[in-house]
Amino acid sequence: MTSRQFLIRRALLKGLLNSKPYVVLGAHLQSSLALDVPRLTPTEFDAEIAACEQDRYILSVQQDRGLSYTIRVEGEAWLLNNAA
Amino acid sequence: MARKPRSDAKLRNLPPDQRTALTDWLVDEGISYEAAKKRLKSEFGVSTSYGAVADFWQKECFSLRFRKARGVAEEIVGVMRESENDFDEATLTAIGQRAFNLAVAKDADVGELVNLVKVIGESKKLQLQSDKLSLEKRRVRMLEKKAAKLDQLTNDLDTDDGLTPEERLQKIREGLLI
Repeated sequence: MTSRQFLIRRALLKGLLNSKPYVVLGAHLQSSLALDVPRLTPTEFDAEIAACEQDRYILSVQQDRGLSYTIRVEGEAWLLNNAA
Repeated sequence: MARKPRSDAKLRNLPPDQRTALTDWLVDEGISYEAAKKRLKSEFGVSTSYGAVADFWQKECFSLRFRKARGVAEEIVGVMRESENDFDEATLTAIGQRAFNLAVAKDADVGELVNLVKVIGESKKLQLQSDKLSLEKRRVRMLEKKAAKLDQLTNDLDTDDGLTPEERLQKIREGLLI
């Protein structure tokens, strides 16, 4: 994992942890991450979402307004181990 | 292109407890930059500028808008839970999620949501006032009933001359214990 991917993952999981127990719409998550991560591209965002889902750090839920996300216990543990 | 923050930026290098406090003021309490600046000076003796607080918000706190949105949603759910209407958990969860989505939306007007909470709160106050009024009416009805009985007793005592003083006293006592 590159340091940039690490930065994106930490910002993403932090945002979801702050939202718990509510799920966050992908678009809202992306716009918020863009403020934390300079020049975040949609591809980077999508790739990190996919990686986090694969590692079971986050869970996606289909809502009427699109895919939404929430953090899993494994994601919280990762954040604890990688606190700023 | 975003510039790397200066390593000597005062607010970014605050001790963790002071940094957390500043974040809480800005995110949870929603105080203005000017108020945060004054509070930093009065509580921690840290002199800073309006611009530095604004910069801190942009770089450190904006991502915490999720936390703020969650707070707004929880507040709304809390008010709904305590309202007279018996909302089930599924409804409360759905309302909370919708409120969260609204609050977190980039162009959302959090003030509108706060107004909604206030309206719900006002309706609760109205309900309490209505309950209080009902109790007051009941009290007045009981007092009227009691007064009518006392009037009746006075009439009886005035018209009934055959009563001994003890019997009259007994009747008065009974009347007062209605």
